[in-house]
Amino acid sequence: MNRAGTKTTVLIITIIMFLVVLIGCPFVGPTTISFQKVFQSLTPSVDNQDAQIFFSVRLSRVLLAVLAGAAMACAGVIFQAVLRNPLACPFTLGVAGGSSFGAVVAILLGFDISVGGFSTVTLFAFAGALLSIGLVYALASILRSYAAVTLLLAGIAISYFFNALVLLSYYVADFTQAYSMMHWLIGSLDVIDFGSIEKLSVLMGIGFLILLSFSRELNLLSAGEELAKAKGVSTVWVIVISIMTASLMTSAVVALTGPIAFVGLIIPHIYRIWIGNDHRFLLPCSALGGAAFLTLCDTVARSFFGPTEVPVGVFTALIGVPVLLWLLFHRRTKG
Amino acid sequence: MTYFQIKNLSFRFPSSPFHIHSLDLSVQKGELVGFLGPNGAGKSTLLRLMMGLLKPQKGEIFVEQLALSFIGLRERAQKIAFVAQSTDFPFPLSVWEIVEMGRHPFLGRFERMSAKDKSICEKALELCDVSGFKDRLYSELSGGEKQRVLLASALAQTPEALLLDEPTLSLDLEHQLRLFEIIQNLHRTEGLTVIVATHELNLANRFLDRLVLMKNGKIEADGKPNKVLTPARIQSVLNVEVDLLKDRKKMSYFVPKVQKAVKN
Repeated sequence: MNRAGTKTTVLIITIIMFLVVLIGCPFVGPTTISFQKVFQSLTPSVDNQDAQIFFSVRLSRVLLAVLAGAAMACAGVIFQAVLRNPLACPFTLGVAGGSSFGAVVAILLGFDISVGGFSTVTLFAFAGALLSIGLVYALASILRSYAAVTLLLAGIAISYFFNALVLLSYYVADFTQAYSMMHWLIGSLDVIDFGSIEKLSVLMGIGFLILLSFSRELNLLSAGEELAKAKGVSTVWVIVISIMTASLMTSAVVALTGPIAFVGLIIPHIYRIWIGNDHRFLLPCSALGGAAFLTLCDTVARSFFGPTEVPVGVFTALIGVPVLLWLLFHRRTKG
Repeated sequence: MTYFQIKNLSFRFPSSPFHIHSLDLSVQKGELVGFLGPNGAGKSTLLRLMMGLLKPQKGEIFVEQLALSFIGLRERAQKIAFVAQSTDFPFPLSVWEIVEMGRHPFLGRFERMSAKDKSICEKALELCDVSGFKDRLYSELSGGEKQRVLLASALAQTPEALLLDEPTLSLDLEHQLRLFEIIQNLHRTEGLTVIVATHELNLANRFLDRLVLMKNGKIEADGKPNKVLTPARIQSVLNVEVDLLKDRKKMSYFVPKVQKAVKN
């Protein structure tokens, strides 16, 4: 089969996979619920326990997993393409470090203010992520270079700096605070209200469309900065806009979930191995694949270890790494 | 008609001495020119300046009377195509995907390739003799095939001028010849203005119409190959003593004298 045919086939397979996960996962959990009862509108909703579990507990969490997985996988695609580095991930510019620092500061100070339905920890984490991105860009503009290697090094430096601050905060925190910090740092999905999901999905939708509109430029840029420029791509513009968009999407998600590892690294690689480097397909496939993957991981994390819940960040790594290794050994198309 | 007009051009990399010194050069539309000279002479740099990939500190390059700095990146890519020295890519790409990139400067943000764009790509593949492996991965091709694919991607830009930076680097003898034949053919049939930076004295002498001999960022000689390439000048510019041999058709060949590389 030729490459164009493969790409379309993989996209269709991914869409089907996504729909199966999206519809199936809310029915899986420690409490068994029945399909008929959930959609039995005759029973008043207060008495219909199955419907309540389905809609206000599981569906909202599944939707958060979908948005988070899609955003991180897309951001991973962008970072790897723009920095031309297969090890880049959404956290390469220090987003994880910055948001973690924001979150631990909020936990340490113990403030309890909430704006627009978002908790202090979320707001501080978001601010921390923006701070780290701002620092990376400031460094790059002082050095007058938006070259991949500058951004990469600046990002790594900022990450280490914030990680040190996180460790310091962890050290001075008391026992309960330390536990909350640990929980946040591993990354986990919690039940959030539909209002937040609505806001998040609008943001993710806009971000995704911006990135998708750059897909041909990303194809060129990922092949090389000089090549892209020689073919008429305004490289600095594409780098700044796409990295900014991807970073904002990641920051918003990470503020709610904590830095969930591996989704943004592994999903883009799986699809690169599978369909190659065409971002018109790579972006939608990774978005849907990342959404399905994180939802599946979270379903495992919340369902089979009752009465406790394991943070989803553990499973993304435990499931993701073997999948990636298997693909590396069995790939049909070589890099 | 003049295509490229280079006036008083100077360039240096940050924290380095000047690499190109107040250089003047003009290239006519439809010429087939070679840049020759030792490593570091400024051949590749000059090509990059002419493509607008580097910005000169002084002077200006005019493309059909228009200052290059006033021509937008997309518009430049519609007029001029550049092929860098053997390139490798960090991610897997198919031959077709690379050739498709040549159409980028002609497509709007949300526009898809039309049937016409596709047929331009097909034709470019054919001209470079690589239409057989559209769906193959670039990384699995031989050096000669890779170079021809990159050339095809440049031709897909339907350029007026083609700038090639050492296209025969790392190619075996047969593929060097084939590549120069393709270049000569393109020049003849499509009327392209072609500039090739190369180290291949004999191929340049045989295939190109005009040679520009460079050293230390300056032009040492410029003219017809048989006027530019003399054993004395080759010795002074390239630092190698050569013998001049002529074949039955009076074509000149330069053979380096072994163990007699001159030290200045």
